[in-house]
Amino acid sequence: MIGSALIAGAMVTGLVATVLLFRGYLRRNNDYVTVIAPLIGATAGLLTLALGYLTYQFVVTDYANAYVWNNTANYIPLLYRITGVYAGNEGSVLLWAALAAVVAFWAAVRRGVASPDAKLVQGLTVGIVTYFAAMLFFDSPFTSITDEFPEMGEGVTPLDGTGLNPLLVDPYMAIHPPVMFIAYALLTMPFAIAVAHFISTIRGNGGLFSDWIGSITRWLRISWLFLTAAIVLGSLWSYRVLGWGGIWAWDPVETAVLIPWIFLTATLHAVMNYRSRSTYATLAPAMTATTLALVIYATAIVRSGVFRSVHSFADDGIGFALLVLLAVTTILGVCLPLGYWLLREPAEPADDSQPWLTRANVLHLAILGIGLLGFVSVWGLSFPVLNSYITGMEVEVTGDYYNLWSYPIVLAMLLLLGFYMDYDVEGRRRALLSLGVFTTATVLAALIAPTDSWLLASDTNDALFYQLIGSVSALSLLPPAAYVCLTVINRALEYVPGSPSRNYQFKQVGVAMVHIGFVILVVAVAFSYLFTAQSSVIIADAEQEAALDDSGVHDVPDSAYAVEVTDYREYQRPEDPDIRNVAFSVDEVTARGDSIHETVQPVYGTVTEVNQGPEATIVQLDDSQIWLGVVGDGQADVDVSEGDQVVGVGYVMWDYLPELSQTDAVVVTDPADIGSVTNPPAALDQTRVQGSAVGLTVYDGGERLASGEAGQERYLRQGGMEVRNVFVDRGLAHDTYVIAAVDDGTASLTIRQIPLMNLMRVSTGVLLAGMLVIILFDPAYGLVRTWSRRTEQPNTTETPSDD
Amino acid sequence: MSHKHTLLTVLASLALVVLVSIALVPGAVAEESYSGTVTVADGSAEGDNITITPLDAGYNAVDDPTETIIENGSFSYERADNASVYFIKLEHAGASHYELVTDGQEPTITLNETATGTLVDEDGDPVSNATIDVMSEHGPPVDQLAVDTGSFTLEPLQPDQTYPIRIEANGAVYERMLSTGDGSVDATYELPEPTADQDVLHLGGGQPVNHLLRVGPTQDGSRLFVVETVSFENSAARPFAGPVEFAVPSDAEVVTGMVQEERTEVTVENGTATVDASIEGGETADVSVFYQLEDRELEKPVGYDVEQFAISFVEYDLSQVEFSDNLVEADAPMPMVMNTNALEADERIAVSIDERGAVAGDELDNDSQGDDLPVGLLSAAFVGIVVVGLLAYRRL
Repeated sequence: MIGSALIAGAMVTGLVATVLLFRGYLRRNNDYVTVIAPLIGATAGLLTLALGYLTYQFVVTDYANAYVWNNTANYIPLLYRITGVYAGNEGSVLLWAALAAVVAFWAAVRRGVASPDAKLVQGLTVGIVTYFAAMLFFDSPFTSITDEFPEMGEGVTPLDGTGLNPLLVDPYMAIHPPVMFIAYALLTMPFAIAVAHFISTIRGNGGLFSDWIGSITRWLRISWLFLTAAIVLGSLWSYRVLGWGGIWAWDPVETAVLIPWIFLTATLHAVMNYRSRSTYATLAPAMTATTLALVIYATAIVRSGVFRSVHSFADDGIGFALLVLLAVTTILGVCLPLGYWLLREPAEPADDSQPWLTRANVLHLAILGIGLLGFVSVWGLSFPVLNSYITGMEVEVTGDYYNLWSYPIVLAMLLLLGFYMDYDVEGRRRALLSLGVFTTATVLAALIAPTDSWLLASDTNDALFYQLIGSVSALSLLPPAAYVCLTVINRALEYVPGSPSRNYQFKQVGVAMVHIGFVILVVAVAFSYLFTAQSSVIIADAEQEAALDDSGVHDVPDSAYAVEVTDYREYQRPEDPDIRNVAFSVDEVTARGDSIHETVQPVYGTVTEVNQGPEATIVQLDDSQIWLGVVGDGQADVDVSEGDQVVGVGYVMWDYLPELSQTDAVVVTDPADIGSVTNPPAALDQTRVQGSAVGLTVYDGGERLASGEAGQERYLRQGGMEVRNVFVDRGLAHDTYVIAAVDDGTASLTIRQIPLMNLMRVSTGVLLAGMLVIILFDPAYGLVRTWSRRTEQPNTTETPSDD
Repeated sequence: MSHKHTLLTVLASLALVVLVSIALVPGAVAEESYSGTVTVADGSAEGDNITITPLDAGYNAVDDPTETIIENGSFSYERADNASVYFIKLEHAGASHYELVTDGQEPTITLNETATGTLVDEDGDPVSNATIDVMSEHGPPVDQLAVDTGSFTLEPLQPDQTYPIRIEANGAVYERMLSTGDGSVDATYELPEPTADQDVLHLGGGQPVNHLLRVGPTQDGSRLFVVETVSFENSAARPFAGPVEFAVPSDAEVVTGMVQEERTEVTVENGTATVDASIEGGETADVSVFYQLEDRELEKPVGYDVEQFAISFVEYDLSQVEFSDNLVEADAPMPMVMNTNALEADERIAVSIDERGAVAGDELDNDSQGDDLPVGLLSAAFVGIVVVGLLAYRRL
């Protein structure tokens, strides 16, 4: 009730704020302007409270809430109870809405809502928040269990939940969604600003992009930081949890989130070079507006279940509301700018005096290239859907498609990036010379493949294009990557030393870090993918070997690895279940009284008297008026005696044996449905997870490498879904990744040697740190106020006054 | 499967449990003793063997069987710890009789019934040269007798018992019941002449499908072992006794045939394996042929026009299996492929197994045996290019 009220409150305050904002914008007056910021604050506060309340319900496992019941269970530890909050659609949207509302409130406080532009921007932002609140009002995460399952009866609360999707039980998955939603929420502001820019321009009030460029840049950069971090976390998750030993699989949802990332990257480059009257006057705001539409597109794909994907966690109806939102954001973010560009943009004055080779043109090319890269993904994602609509045939787009089409574009982009960085400092002639050298080196390297492993795709018998690119050597990645590093470092060496502004120096270092980090990441991913080696071995009597002290070492065929089984265990969770989770005490049965007459209920207690007759054995529980009656074949063999802790499940019958004065109710059961509390009947078995694992010592080339455990867990209540627990040893040059299928004493091991994983980890760290440095120290739009060389005490958090 | 069949199966499995349990369980010390009595009408059980096996509530033996003999019409045995029932076997006059008594009760075995029976064909003429196996309702065999001239007498038997009997005559098997009441019994069993006409057989009644191939590895794992089972319904009122044919692959090495749970001879000629089968009128029977192949590929004609056809895999994962276009992956709890449309007898089906043990990870190339990446060399080259380039920019 409280939760629904909070959401309803948020919807109302959001709606009022939105209406007042648009009213104020259209009438150009400041009536009610003083209440708007408090209203937005109230919306943010109410949504945050709702999120907190939902989290609280998860923590205390309040199963009166159907959403809680659906997404957690008693045995799940605290951390994953909290992650259950966003395991389903409703909780995810609530998180998104709350974050977006906080962002809107922040902007309203920082910048105020007095100016017409601010009203329009806020109106759009709060409008989106209100739409989310309305979605939640109609599809609430606070629906009570009785509304969801009326057949359960009024006021009945389940004793245990159904559990959490096992794939989400992972530390990376615990933070991946919130980080992702922070990025999404932050993108709402630039979207609103860009759309407001076009509305304002079309209405003849002049654009507002120039005035807000600082805000936009900051929001976009911070979004990029979070979105990148979210993708990295997701990759780390898929590396461990999915047991592929791969960080990226071109799963539709991975592709779907890569598209906004690519586009956001391109947008950042366009916005950097935005000038109100010349370059990117239309393109930069248009790209900014489109990014959110792409984010909604990605989410709709994740949540609407169009694709069968590892991310299809929650696909129950909120899809439609998202499709509506997709339509709205597409109209505002894509169609509006496009329409403006087609109809209204004044023709640019032709300027023949400029040579064709300018920084601006190179940047045009770069943005075009990034766009092409995005298109490869968009097409790969959309083609199967289009194809199945048009021809009715299901086709699968494989990783090869993405890899082989993207590869030449990435090579060209790297060469272009190197050239751009070079051109900046070395001038045209020298830059062209270097480009020529490295392009030649790239082409030559493409022809050098020491073994088949170097080829991008060794077994394509497809179209000519695939054969051609497939037969290119991965060595061709090395010259362009080195070229970028070289030119970026060269540029930094030129710009950084001797600059009077420390902020400027930091920013240039940040730019260098981002680009170098990215290039190294590309190299590491490509080589890691191509040079992953796999071999397997089956250890038939793993269980016996685990019991022996010196059981011997098994060589893994076709590899330098050998393994020794040191441990074997089969376990279940919860380990020591509490019978109170699933059964009533006699007091609870008494308290429920007639409402559970003739219903099947579980009950437990201590046996205080046993009467064994020819037709039935009846057992008194806790010296009370509640008895268990065992009837049917084998009742005479039921072995209970006074003092035993028993549990049984059966029909509760009040006044079943009126002739016996000491019975009020008998729970009528049969021998199969009664058992001791420590060994309850099957119907009350609380086992949720059955796991088996082997302890392993892995040897590489005769040297002991690492010890650890690998195995799998079977989630009984999730349709027997299996999750593998892999064992990963992080080596300097390569990870050793062991998957074990453990069954019935036998362990089937697959050992992968995955190179360059640490390089990947380091390069993503450099990439993210670089962006953080830019966000903080950019002299124009950084969060840290201009910091001259002499100032030793940084003012870390204050924002510049133009915000 | 008929009710009678189910009953027989239950009885047979009970018997198996008893026998296995008897064989497995070690002894323990007993304290009290019970005594039982044996009464044989028109005779004496003096000196007959008695075997007592103590069982728990789940009919698992809790102690070794003990043997004793009958003296003065009674026998005694010691109480076993944890026993809820005792299974008692009496050997009398070449036949065995059984009694199950709960712990605490003293057994009484009475043999006073006489059963006479006649075996006749449809015309009422006696059937000669038959063999009858008499089973107890607990499963184990009671007696076996040869019937030369169509009539037989069984005595003494226990009263109020139902004995399943299995009659082999005319080259076919007939399953019947013999019930004793409280007086002598005279039963006539009509045994219709079997037919060898395969037209009376129809595919049907099989679980999960009427035509099933179970494919798994041979002992050494290098080849495939196949159990091909076809479920037949005998639509005639008479038994079928005759050859059942299987189309087997040309490289198949046929091991054995099986009708229901019994091994039978099988002959192979020109890719056809023939099993002699006997199927009761109106009953369903599974007829199987076991064969192994030379490699991990199976290709053969279906052999029968079949609506429901499936191939299930033992110890293989579907990710390792490639199969012909007329098959699709089945939604089943085990790895299985099945037909999409009805298959015709001469249509060919094929499966092949990828030997690489695909354990997990459908996503990554399973067989990517990458070479070692020369990390050091590559890093050196990379850093080298950057350093040389930087120097070049400074110097040139």
